[in-house]
Amino acid sequence: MTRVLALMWLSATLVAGCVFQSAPATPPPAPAPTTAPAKPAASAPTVAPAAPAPTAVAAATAAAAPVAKAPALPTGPVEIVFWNITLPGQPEIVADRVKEYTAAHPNVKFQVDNLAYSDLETKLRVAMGTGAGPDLTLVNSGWLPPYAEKNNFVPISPQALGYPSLEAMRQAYIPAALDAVIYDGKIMAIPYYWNVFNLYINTAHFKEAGLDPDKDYPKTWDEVLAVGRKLTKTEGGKITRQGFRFPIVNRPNVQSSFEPILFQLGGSAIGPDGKCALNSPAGVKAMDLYASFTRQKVMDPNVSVATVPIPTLDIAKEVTSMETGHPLTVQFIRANNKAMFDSKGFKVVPYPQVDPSKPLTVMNGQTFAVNAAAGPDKIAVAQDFLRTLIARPNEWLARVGAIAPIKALLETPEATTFPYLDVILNDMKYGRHITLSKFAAEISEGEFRAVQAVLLSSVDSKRALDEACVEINRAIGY
Amino acid sequence: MASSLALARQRITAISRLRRHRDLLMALLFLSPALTYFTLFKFYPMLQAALISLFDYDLLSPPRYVGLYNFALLLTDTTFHRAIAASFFYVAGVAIPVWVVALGFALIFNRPGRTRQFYRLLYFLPAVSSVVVAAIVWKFLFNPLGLVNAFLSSFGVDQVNWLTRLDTAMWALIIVGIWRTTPYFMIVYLAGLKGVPQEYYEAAAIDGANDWQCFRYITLPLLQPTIALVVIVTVILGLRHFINPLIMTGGGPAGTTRVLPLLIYETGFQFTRMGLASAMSMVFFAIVMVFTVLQLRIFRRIGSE
Repeated sequence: MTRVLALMWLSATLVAGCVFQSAPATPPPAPAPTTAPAKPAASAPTVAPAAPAPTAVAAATAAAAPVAKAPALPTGPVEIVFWNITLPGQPEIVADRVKEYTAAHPNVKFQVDNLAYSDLETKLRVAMGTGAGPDLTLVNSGWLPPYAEKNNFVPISPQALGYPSLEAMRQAYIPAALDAVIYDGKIMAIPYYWNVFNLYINTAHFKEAGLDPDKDYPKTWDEVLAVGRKLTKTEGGKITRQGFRFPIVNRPNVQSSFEPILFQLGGSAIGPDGKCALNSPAGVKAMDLYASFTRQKVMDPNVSVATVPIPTLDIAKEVTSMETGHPLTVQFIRANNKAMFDSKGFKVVPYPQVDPSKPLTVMNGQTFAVNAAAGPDKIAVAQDFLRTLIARPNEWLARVGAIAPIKALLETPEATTFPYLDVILNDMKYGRHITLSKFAAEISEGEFRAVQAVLLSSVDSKRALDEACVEINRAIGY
Repeated sequence: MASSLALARQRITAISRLRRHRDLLMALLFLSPALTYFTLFKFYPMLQAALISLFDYDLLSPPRYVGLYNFALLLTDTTFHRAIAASFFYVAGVAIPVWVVALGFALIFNRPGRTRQFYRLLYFLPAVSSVVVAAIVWKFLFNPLGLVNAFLSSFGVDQVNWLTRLDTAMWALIIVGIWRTTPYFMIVYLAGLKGVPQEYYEAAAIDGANDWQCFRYITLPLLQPTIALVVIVTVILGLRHFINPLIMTGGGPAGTTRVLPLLIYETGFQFTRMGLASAMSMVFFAIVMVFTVLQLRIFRRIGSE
């Protein structure tokens, strides 16, 4: 009798638990992508002129093509949940843009969640998968493929952003950057902060070694090795200053430093047969080149992999003479070593090449995307807000250091406040996005483990890449 | 007379049965908050995980039933096998020293004395510190230019790249694991030692037994249930642990410290292969259960002998 009672009680609790818990939420079917309402072309993202006379961009956009009708935005109350990141300056500029928009649209409220970037990828995936995703969110361009495949984001209409057509938008943007966010002819997210990888050098170290930083900076990987040897300092057999360094702290760092070499040598992460191609002859050659800096004692991976959370801080701290990095490095130098920044103690030069006649570097960036499950009112408002959000990219440049992949950015007065913006934007022309795949996480993890094995434990490059490919192929389904 | 006696007996039986039911109901009432919590937040998610293990689920698409396919994948998955080996290596490295060292500290701190109480508190601090904060601090300590190498260099030991060498990274994690786990089980042993009647030691002293004999013939046998608890729990905790590998090494270098919980986390939340991650966790659960049952049987056999 007692056992029966106990069993009855347990069953009741279990049933209660099942009732109040939800089963794994199947994501709601993606609504048909809504075409964003057309906007007048005059309100294209103009670069706000600092001088009284309008800039070339403003003039060009003023004389733009036919004006589309204003959209019918909802008049009732709408609340938009917006996931932003805590990059210095970004929460503030987003708050200002929200204020600007809500002043013009008092029925709209925003809930802006400023998240740590390191948490965003997993949080977003889990939230989108369980139907709890934000209405508008920041998304790294490398995360887009699985969302694009499932139509989780609303395609963004060029007209919504003030362009008469996609072609007009491609003319205004750096094409390679925009192409990275176009899936099946549709723009799945809008890039506002684009990274391209260049080489950052310490000019004082160059001069100390008897080199001219304006002429003697390396253009090829062989030159990087040669110059790196001259810049490296050792003490008692240990490297005290690395002449050159790849950032290898985590998988995004490794992917963005390994893949340019892989691509320059004609390789790729995934082959035409859909299987992992890292262990191809080109991949092995790329790994050997990558490891040559460690093998020839120009780089010490043990020091940098252990603690530095932001690898490009080493340039700011002047413990590295040369390092590949993205434009945020300039911000870090400005914030952490003002003396170096003010005295032009650093220089940004084009990315080193295997073959200078075929330049190639890698890029990726941050974008904003609208959740397709947000509901028609929220989608309409979010798309409309996007135009306000990304307007005046020169302001984003000045306040956040965000380089929008827009050609006209270089013509703005703010461009002069960002050193070497011309080099950065020029390299974007030769940029290729890091491997875009729904298995991007597994690919970058495989590359990361292979690089660790080769650089930290002197494992043979072919063996390390073979093991990486076993894991990647397992994920793909081979 | 006989019938009134039988009636009285029946009445007594009925009353005691009623009392037992009432006691049971009272017990269930008091247990219900904890049981509800466990049901909702432990048993139900476990059942869900078991269900998801039969599906291919990447969070963005509806789950697709694949039966035992995920389990079949694990049979030939060398990464999974290596993660199990890493977990066992970690457990062996942490648990065995903890069994001995924690008992040693407990024996030392079991004696009265104000100073001992202060040191007991000090030694317990690692157990109450934040796991994440401790991991970050240890990561700095194990930096090639950190305090551990600075300390070792005073003895003429060369710089060791603790967290980036294949042969030292796991040992660094084991050191941190022992540092953190020992104080907790020291307290468990202390509680067990308090349960050993002092009269036995007094009687043994009268019979001329020395300290080792007291320990061997009185303390150890009477401490057996506590030892069993410590052994089982250290193994379970060791198999479950993943914060230190996550923060200190990220599973590297080259996957050498990628213990099974970390692999499950990566598979589920970085690669978003929830079905495969759930299958891994089911296998992991089975392994832990087998070990626990084995240990219980061994200790029961020792106890009966």
